[in-house]
Amino acid sequence: MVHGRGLVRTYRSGPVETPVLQGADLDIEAGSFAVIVGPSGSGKTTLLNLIGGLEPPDAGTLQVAGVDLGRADDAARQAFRRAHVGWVFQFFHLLPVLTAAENVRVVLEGLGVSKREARDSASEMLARVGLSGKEDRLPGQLSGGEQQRVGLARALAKRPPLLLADEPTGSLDRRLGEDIVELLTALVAETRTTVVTVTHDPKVVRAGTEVLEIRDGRVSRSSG
Amino acid sequence: MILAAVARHVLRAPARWLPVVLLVAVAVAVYGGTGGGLRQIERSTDQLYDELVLPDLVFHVQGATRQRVPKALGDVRAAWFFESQGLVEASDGRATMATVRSTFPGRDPAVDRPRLMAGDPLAAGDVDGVWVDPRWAEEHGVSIGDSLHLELPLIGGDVVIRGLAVYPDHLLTSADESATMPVPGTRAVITLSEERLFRRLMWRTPVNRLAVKAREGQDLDAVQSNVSALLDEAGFEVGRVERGDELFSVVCHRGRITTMRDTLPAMVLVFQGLAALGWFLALGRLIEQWRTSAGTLRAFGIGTPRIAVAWLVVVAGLNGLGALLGAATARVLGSSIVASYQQATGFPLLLGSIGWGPTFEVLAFTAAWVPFALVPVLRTLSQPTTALLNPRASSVHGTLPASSRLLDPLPPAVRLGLLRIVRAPGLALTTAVSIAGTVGIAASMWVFSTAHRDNVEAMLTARQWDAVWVARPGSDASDLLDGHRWEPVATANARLAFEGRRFEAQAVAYPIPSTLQSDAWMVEGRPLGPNDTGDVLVGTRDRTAYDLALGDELSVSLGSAEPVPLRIVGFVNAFSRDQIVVHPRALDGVATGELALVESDEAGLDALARSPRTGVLLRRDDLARTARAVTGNFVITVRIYGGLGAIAAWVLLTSALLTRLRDREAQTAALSALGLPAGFAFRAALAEGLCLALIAGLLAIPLVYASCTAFQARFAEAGMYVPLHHDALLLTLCLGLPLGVALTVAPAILRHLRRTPLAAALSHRE
Repeated sequence: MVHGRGLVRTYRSGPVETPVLQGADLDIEAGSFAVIVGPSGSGKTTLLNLIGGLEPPDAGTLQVAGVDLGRADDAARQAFRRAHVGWVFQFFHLLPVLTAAENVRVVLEGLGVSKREARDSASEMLARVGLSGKEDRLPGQLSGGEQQRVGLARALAKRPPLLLADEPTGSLDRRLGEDIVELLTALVAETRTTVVTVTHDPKVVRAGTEVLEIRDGRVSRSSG
Repeated sequence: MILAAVARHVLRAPARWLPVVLLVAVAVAVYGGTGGGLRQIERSTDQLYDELVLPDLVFHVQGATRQRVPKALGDVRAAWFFESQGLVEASDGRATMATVRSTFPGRDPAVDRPRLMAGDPLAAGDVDGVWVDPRWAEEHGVSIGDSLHLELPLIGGDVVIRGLAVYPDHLLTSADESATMPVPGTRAVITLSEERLFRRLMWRTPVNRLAVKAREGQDLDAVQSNVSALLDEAGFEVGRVERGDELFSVVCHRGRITTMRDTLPAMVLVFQGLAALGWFLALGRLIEQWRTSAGTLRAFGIGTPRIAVAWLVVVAGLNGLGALLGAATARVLGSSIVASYQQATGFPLLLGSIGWGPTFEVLAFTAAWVPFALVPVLRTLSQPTTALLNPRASSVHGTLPASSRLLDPLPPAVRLGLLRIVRAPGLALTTAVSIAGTVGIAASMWVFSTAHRDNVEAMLTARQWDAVWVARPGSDASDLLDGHRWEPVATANARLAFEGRRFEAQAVAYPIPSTLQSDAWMVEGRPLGPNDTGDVLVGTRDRTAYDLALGDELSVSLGSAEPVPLRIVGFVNAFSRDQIVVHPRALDGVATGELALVESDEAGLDALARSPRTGVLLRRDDLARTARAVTGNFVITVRIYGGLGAIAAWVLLTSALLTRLRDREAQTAALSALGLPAGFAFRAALAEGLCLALIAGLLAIPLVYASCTAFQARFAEAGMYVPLHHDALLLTLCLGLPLGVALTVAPAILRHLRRTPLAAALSHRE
């Protein structure tokens, strides 16, 4: 699913250059639950952003779901995200003026799914993440764990082959974090979605089938 | 250190602080520009030419030393008297309009000499003494020795009646040759001593009448030509010219716009209020951005007072920047006001350039707003440190409005944009109100100035005559009638009563049917027909002043005749105030004879103007030129204000949209990460902007109506009724202006969406 070779990414701020990835190699098989770990500032989120097509590598090759992201321009990366990727964020990034159901629907409808189909899919996904009866609540009326469930439903509603999660339990307490990990594991097993997640949470690490550790800008595979 | 950190923080987010600076700039520009421009006009009119030279007379006038003016003018042999219009109040509290004249007692004019009927002459140096017309004295129950109060610009105050005098030039024969009537509007002729008049500068009064008599052996034409040139050079509009064998007099005035002077301060205040509101909102957003920084500083043990002081210093700096920018704009605005004034009046402004405005005032203005920054500063800093450090909770709570469901059929991006307003109405409404205020100002300025201009044009169109010429007593006008087309116009003084109130007016009768009138003249009702001897048309000013309506009956007393009831069948738009139109038969036996020159050529008009016979000649072209110049001045100035309102609206709307966009960077980036195209976020932002603009436009409509009505009332007080029939223009401006502004922000929205890195945006907490 994900094959990267010699990935380099450097951030520039004026004259200051901060190398993050310095020739990282990685391979993630389809259907696996890959966990990226490493110290803060090691480049975990940067690697996830490259895999998700949010930014291009400065050098190296990166093939994700058969798409060459190393050479893709903005439009091609956007098309890639549209077709292949679902995202879950640490801070949820839900639209506060939309209800739980509308947060899911707006993505589907924005991608061209019909209103009826989007409504049905949103209801189904929210039910699967345990939010039946709370579809019409605004994010401000939901707990942190419930908001993250909406985020998960939003990410999976379009049935992407690749789900990327950046610290999905980072903003939740221990119990809610465990709920989310269980939910994520179950949904992935059910939908056979490939998951790549960045985390510091040992529970998430334990749930992973592959663990990629980043150190000094390079990736080493540890255990599965 | 803290200050430097806050300043750096501010400078890195220009979209947040720029509105603060720009709104201060707009406020200072309006304040300074208006103040600077008008002050320039005022100061300049206080000064006169250092030296005015005529071939047959030379006098010096120093604006800085007014005391020299009386002497200087007194040395002018040809100067005869000066007149001004004003309000005179008797000791019993009743007031009337009067012509106040100052004569030169030492002179002995061959004609137009006031004839003292009773009492004492005005002694030289008698500042308080006046003569009044005996008939006016009788009507008002005053006699010699009584005191009066003159409500006049600059020369007003309490005076004492020393004598009763009549003026031949103010008495015209009527159709009833046994009676004489004062010229309408000059019934109360009050004579002052020159001392009193010259205590103040006559040039500052809006309307003056200058009488000039030639020296023996001098050519009166040459003197008149020289005086006209002098007046023209001094920036006076020359109106009515009266001409005799030995003297002539001219009525001259400066293009003073009373209504503008009265209205501008109010407009400036409204501007200040709206700019302050916008400034306050923009500042609130700016300070909200600093809250987590404040939490961090407090967590490290830095006290709230130090943080507050640092913030206030930065706010003061931003205000100072805005003040500088505003002062520069004020200079341009002030210059344009002065230029338009000069263009309209021709009055030369003698002071130097406006400069950078009064430094103290700008500094005071800048400083005055800073304490208000304490409100958002203290509101933010009063929160616990933990609250400051935590991301702001979602502001959207509560139940969903049912109306949200109505938006379901809309495309998802549009629906999202609208839901951002429907479900968070508080912030949207606050923003919309401030935008509506500025849009309202811009639109009302434009709508009213357009209505005023159209109204003046309509009134000018209604004047079908080329000129009005009034025969003087004893003159034989028969040879002037040949070769031109004339129509008789009869005028007489009228005393009116309505529901216990009494007022005076000039009664005018035109032939029926008449080519002197046009439909544009009628504001409401119908013109007088051949058999409407019991009907009357009333000027719109009186309708407003006395709350008259169609069908009301006025008790009208014409001349010495008994009062008769006349029914109001129409209202007419007229330049003149206190004017009624009656059937010619109503004036039978009491009216003076006037002739309106309906058709002539330029040569004919010139011949009439040069006629040795005494008469009054008012040309339509002169009237039109004066009216258009004054109107043009008003329209230009008002539209400058309208333009500033539009700029303020643009700043507010742009700032609001871009700030809201920036606040949602992470949400937008999340949608993009999920594969939604950039166009989705753009459409949502545009829909939100257009909706916000639409709300602002709708809110602006009643504001514009109210504003235009207020303008209308002010103009009515000044004697002009301006009908407002510009609904289409009003709607177009109220809705089109904010929507247009929203569309101009579209490229900035697109640019922002394209240039915001997704990865960086997603790392933000909200």
